[in-house]
Amino acid sequence: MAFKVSIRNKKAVQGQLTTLVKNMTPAVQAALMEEMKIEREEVIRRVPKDTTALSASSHLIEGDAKGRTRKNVAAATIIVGDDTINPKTQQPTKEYAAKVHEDLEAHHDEGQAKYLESVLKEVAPYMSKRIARRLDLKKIAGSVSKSDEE
Amino acid sequence: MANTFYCHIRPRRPFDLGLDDNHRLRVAFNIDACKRPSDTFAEEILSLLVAAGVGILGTNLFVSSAVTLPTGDGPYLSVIETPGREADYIHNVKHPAYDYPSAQIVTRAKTRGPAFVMATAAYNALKGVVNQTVTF
Repeated sequence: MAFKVSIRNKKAVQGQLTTLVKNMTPAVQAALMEEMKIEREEVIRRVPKDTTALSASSHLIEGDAKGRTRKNVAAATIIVGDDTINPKTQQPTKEYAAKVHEDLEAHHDEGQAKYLESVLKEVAPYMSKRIARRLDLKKIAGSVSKSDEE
Repeated sequence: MANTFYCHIRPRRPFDLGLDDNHRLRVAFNIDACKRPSDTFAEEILSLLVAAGVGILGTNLFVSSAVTLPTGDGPYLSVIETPGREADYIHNVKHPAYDYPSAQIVTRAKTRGPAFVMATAAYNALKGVVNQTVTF
């Protein structure tokens, strides 16, 4: 049995694939940000709430913790702890957020230690599927066709 | 006595966790593991630490946050299980094939030196675990 595959107009196919990759990263980034918004809400729910300073200091940003992005890489970071001042201790949240996260012996009436890590570990196995579900392939394919026409 | 296969244990570097209620310095590090399922993860970690000469079970090595630690100068080490990742399943097998548990190892001592020495010894004992059967 023989099976033959031939690609005609190789240049056009290469062009389409290049455009697809170019358009895919922003689409994945947008989908990732939408999914991470949901996870940020869960992180806020788990942050200890002696005051609301720590939960008020959470942010979702594109890229790594310093906001750095890489070409063709979709990335998002949830940060807890910034210059928000704790009204009880007058301490900026960035100075104690990590300790509260790691201290398993501290008692919290509301919230828990590992408020960030526990959420991200739970979501990790499902994140790629969730992002894939958000991708509008027709739209991405449409942009390929459009750029093809150009 | 049970044998559990470990694909790997990945420890992260020890860090200063501040003082405990008895004003002893705590040094902690987190570990993530990939292993065959068992109900004795923390005990298996302790058995690795005992085998590496880090300490003695019940004397200066303890498990869970429920145990009452000695009030002395230390150093003392405790293993506390933390949220891990969901297990992996394989084809045609009903139960999980691999678990991904996590734990925090905490050492404490009156002064910085012994706490860090014990934490580093535990870190070194666990970082080399790859494709190893652990007996508990």
